[in-house]
Amino acid sequence: MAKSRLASLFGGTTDGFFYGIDTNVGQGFHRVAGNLWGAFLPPTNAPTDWKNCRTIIAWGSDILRSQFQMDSEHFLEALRNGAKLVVVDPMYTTTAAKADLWLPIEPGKDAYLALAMMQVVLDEGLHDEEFLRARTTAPALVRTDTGELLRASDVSAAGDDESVVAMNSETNDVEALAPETDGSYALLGEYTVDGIETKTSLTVLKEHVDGYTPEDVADVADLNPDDVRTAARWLATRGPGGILPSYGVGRYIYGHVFGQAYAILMALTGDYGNSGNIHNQHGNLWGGNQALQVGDYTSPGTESESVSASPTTGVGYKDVISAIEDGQFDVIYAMESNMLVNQFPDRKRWIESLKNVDLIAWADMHHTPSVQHADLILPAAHWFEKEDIVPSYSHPHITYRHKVHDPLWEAKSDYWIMDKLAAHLGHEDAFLGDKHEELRMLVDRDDRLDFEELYEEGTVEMDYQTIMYQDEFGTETGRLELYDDAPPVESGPGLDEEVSLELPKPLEARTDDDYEKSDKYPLVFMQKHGVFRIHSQYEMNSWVREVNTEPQLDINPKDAKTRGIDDGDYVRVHNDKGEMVVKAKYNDGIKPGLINTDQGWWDRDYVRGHHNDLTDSEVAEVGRTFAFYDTRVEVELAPDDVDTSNYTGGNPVGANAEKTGGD
Amino acid sequence: MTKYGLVIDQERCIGCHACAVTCKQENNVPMGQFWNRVLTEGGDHIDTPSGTFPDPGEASTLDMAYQPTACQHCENAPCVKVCPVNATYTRDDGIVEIDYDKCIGCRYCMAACPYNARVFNWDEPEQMPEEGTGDVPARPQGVVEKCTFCSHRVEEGLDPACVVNCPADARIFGDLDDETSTVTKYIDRYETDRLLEDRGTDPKTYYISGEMSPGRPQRSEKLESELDERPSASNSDDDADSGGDEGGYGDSGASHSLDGDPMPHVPAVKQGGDD
Ligand code: SF4
Ligand code: SF4
Ligand code: SF4
Repeated sequence: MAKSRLASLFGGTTDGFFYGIDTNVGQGFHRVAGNLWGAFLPPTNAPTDWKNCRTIIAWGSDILRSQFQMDSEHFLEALRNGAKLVVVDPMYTTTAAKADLWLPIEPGKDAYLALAMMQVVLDEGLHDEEFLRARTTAPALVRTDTGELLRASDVSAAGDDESVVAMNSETNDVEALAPETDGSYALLGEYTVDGIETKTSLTVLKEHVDGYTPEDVADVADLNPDDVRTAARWLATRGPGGILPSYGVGRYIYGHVFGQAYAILMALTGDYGNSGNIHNQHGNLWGGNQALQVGDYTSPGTESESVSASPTTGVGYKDVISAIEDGQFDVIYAMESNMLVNQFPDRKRWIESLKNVDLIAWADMHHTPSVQHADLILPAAHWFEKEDIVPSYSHPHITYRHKVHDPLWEAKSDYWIMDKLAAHLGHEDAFLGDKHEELRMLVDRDDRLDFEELYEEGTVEMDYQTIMYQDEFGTETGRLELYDDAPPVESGPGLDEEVSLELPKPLEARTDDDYEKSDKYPLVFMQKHGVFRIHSQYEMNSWVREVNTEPQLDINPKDAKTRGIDDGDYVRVHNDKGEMVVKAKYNDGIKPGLINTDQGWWDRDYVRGHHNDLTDSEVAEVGRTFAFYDTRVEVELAPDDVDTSNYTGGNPVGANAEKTGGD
Repeated sequence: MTKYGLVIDQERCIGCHACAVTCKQENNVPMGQFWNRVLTEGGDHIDTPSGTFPDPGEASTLDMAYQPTACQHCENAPCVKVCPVNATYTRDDGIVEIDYDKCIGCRYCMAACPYNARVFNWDEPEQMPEEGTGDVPARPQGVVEKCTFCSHRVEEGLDPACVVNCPADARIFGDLDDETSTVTKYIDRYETDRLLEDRGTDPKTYYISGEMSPGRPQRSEKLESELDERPSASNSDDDADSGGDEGGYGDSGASHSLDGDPMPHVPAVKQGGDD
């Protein structure tokens, strides 16, 4: 908050997720279900409700590795209660090991599978008719001539331009569709209305998915058609359930199509608004209620304070690099972030771009690879060395964190630094200069909270909703929109022509077998979110490094042997962009053709190179999100002269990772 | 009598290694050593399965599970029998412990232990951070050390560190002699195995597989026997129902009580550390 407030004092630019990271699948979902909470994964029922799920399809999510801290117990409780667990993943993960059915899908084919499951549901008549009539645009009529939805104004002079219409099969007349109205609407069929030929949206969808039978898709996605049917039937017939993706599928460049597809699939099975539905792997973002509500604190220009301010510009991560390259920034002030030089794709390009910046100041409590590129390093205090108020996206509590230790050495809290910076920029009044009082003032702005209570109790539970999607959807029609007659058009790498997305159509870039360089670089390179770090944080934790010693390459023994690679050999992973040298780890649980190195390792951990020297920062037109997994590489034995002594010298702490001193 | 034992539910365990790492922290375990290790049952490496990846369309034969392994606190402990100086002994509460002052470093116990549960300080132990961690004094060079069931915590009425910090609630500690304890009930109710049962060591660590248990029923750090109100597997279920509108996000059983103390709960430091 203080960061945004500071930036607003001089019209600074701040960076952000929109668009760039983790915003792909959510965008597709929101096209169907209405703009919910930005572009991240959609809201889901509270984890305390997960035990009521009858079927969970963990799709590209290894939730028990990457999101286990709060949610594993609720997930396990669902399984204990008899939920069927389906895991869709090209890797046999910890989560897959607990599955009733594992679908070892070919990388990048997720939209195919979702379409095949829709085909099964519709073909076998397993769709939830009542739900489709009341809460979706399934009955909305689509004009055969234009492909547009028939509007009320098309059929009646009194009708408006917005409302879509459906055929009432009792009255044999068309009616404008209001949100959440359960009429006797025809779900399937062709109707001529006032001389205009139409079909219901569900009919158009059905015709579309008929091209994706389980047999067709099993071939493309390396699956068994019976397994595809089983997964679809469980979701459709076992009672409330849902699909739980993570950000994994969104790390393919056109992952948003999967978002659109699974939102529609769950509409067909009526899995919205009930206890036992699940829509994503985050145990909810808790409706944003756990965020401190501080009004315009972060943009004080509109206040009648003595603080004058200019509007802040936000730049999504995907655009930051070109902005830096264009020389738009004289100064970058960075804090609590190791994105630029470690976590963003196409790492070398970012490093190069930083030469265009006159001054880079970096506040961090760790000496990260990004800090390494700063002109000025500001040692920031650890969170145990300062008091603060902590909201969370993984539980519904606001926490007051008390300081337990004075900052060591010259470290200062970020608040202290920002207060001084603001004063130096001529804004002495921007902050109170006393963190405790600043926190009190912030809490006072939020009328749900009492400062003394929060301070004393330490943790306050905020109100939250257990069951989501019980109200009108945030779409134009207030319904789930199965068919989009004003669709975005995707044009990006790997596509021969522009593709408009009325309905989900599987699109691929580098994962496609036909990708131009798939002969030269036959392996798809994934960088999973592992269990041993939060992204790049805790890389230097010596105790964890005793378990998780160094970056490794999960490779199927088949792929390794054809390349003459033995288990434990150091290998060079390379493509046109760059290389990394890591140790090969035979893993029979990874699909041949796919390899993996967990993300988050620092440059110093690699014998040579870096995983993000192999990835590309290119984004798609609609997806607008970095596609880390849309990467192709080849692997070979590392040259004899690579120096692996950091790992082979018997030092359990690993590369030149410094000891933590009990961090 | 009290006879402490541990139940580990492998259906719940997610192989996160939190128990292994928190054990180091709590017990001041030197670098390079583990009292508790999380083994993968499957392939040759951590997180790899047995079997081969299915050909397209074929059924999967891959299989993987996790087996956290520390001292099993054997009732009939070979390590106790072979110790020539009685440094390793069984306490009245069933915990197998080492008197480090008596240990002469002969390592007979390591040879006798079929579970590879013991480690030896060949060198001057190196702690991280240097001044040590947790609430247990460091052991010197030349002695054998191992899991104590966190006896220093148990004596204070607290569950072992690895039990409290398991995010999957897969570890349940309690009194095997108390027929109302959760450990006893789970051993009765679920299919359990003990490691290398044919060796006759009579371990007090039980592994659940097959049907998943409800896991550790209380949230508090305290031993079940120290709680004012004893949780049971069934009432924890009921409590877990109270989500959202009824208030109380899953605070089943006793909650992490701060006793009105605005400062975070830091267990009393006995020796050797900043916690
Ligand atoms: S597991 Fe090994 S060290 Fe522990 S009691 Fe049994 S024999 Fe002794
Ligand atoms: S009981 Fe204590 S000493 Fe034993 S493994 Fe758990 S944490 Fe370590
Ligand atoms: S902490 Fe719990 S879930 Fe994690 S490895 Fe240990 S027993 Fe398994």
